[in-house]
Amino acid sequence: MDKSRQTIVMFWITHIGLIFFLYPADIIDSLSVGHWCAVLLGFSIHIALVAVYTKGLSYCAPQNVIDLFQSVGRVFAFAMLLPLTLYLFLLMIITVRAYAEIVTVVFLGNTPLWTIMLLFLAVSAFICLLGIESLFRTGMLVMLLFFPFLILVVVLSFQNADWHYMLPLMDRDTATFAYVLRRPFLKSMFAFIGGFLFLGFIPSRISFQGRKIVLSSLGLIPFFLVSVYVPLLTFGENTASKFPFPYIAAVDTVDVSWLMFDRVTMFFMISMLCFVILFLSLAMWMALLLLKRGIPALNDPSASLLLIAIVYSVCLLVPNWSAVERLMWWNTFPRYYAAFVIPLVVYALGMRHRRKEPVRA
Amino acid sequence: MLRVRSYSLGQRQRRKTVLLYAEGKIHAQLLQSIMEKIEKLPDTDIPDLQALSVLLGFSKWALITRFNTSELPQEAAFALEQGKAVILLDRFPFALVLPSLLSDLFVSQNDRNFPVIFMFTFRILRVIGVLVNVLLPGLYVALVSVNPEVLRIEIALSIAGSREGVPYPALVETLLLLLILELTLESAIRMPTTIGPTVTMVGGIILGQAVVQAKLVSNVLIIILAASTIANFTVIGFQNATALRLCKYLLLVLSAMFGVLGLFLGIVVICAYFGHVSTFGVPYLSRWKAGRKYG
Repeated sequence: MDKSRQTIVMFWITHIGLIFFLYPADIIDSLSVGHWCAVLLGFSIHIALVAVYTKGLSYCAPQNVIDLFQSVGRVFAFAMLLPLTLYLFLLMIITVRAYAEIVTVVFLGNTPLWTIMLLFLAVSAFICLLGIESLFRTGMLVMLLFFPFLILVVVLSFQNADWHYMLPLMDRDTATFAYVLRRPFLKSMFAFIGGFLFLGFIPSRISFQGRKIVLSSLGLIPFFLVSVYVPLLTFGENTASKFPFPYIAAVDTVDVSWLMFDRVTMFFMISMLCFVILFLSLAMWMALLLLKRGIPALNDPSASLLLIAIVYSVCLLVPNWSAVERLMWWNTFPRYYAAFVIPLVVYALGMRHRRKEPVRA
Repeated sequence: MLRVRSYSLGQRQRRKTVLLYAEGKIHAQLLQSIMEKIEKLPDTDIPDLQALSVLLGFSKWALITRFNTSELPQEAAFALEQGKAVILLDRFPFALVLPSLLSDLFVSQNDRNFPVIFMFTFRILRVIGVLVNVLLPGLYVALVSVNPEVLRIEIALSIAGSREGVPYPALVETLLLLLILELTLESAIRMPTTIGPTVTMVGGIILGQAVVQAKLVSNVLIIILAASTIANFTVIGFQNATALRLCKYLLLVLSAMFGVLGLFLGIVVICAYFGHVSTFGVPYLSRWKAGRKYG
């Protein structure tokens, strides 16, 4: 049965959860004028990768990435998937640690970090253990509950916008794509890459149409642009670049007289965090899948306990924010591997698969 | 076309059981699984609905009811028409409708006897009721004890003022009053109608007024819990309402620990649980359509 809608919703959730916190700061850091260019460049890379990936997957339809790689050979699969597993582990560690830090900085100053990390891990492990179909349905319900709120905050966040800050649209730096190899831009790609790999892992029961996913991901462009431009329009480039989380700072300036709450930010952030939790459980589910394939003796609960124990203990070892940033930078390499190599190899194998059985109705 | 299958279940205590369904409308896999379950164990005694739910293979500890009970023939007929299955048990005064879905919390067949706009208004009211019921107590605890800075300063001050002199933390305060409320509800169930109003008066007016004056709880909390309890009864079905009442406590504890973050993550956990539950392959969160394929 076609579950494109659920897949699209999950796709949106994973991306929206990633966009609003760290992404704007990276983009604002990477260039001073014409940020739209960086956003759109990142986005076009993203959409090209998603298209290649879904195309490749559709060629070898009922197989997922692991089966596909294993059909070539065990060693090949191991060599291909090991960096991916590493990437997923680092991703979980960074996500848990970074978001726990953000939470303590912004609104739970007195709560110790380890409890928040434990909460994140416990909730996402619970959701992950319920299975991928439950996860998708949960995503639908969470989207239904939180998305209207998100839209409201996005609309409200334009309250203090000064549109003159939009100009100039271009300069030499932007036009020559000189920013592409700068560190902040390379880092910013995490928002585009982390979210779509799950498409290759979901079982064939949950079928989806790649074309619909690609089309629906176009709907994410406004969110990417808003997340970067709202702080720019509110504060101007010079000020916005000083904030660690520019979009959050911009939403903090919003004053809504008819609301009983003083800080809309908090509810906004927390609904984002709920999306992040779903993203985390999705990543955890993928990591579990890989782990179980690698060590067949493990069953679901013990594998997840092992996973949580590893992630949690590494998270505890990360001392401060600069260490988190270092980890993020280290994760850039496995990320680019996961983002470029996996989809391209899937596409190549898919083509091979298709050539082998040319008559497939 | 209506089909009736009669069974006589149990050994010591034979109970006539009737499975009703509309042929051509019911989801084939659902029908088959129900029939298989019933026919496999014809000797199981069914003294109560717990035994029936064990017979049908549902988890004993499930929070969500897998069958809705209804005493209205119109509801059962509508369920049949929609392709659901109805079980009637001898000596039970209601019909059991399978499967139960999230929409059963909000949608009643009786709504369709009103103009469409009214129908949607009622349904939206019920959705709001569910949210208010589940969220308000947790939100109060979160805002009072962990994240007071979220509120506007005027409201924060007035709530703080109303809690002046209350000796214990917001969580204990809320739990105490919730306990009283639950006791009131429970005691009112088997009360003769002539004494019913007395409980309302003692519980509502005397206790409510006195407890505030004695500075045992804040009056804002009384308002919040009253609103939450009223909202609880907008939900259709007693079992659904009870499930939501229980969810409230999870949110309460999480809010006391992690503030608004705990509240929202609690919602995600509840959503995940709802997403996990399914009855004979029909997910609890699916939208029911006659003749649709699930799974």
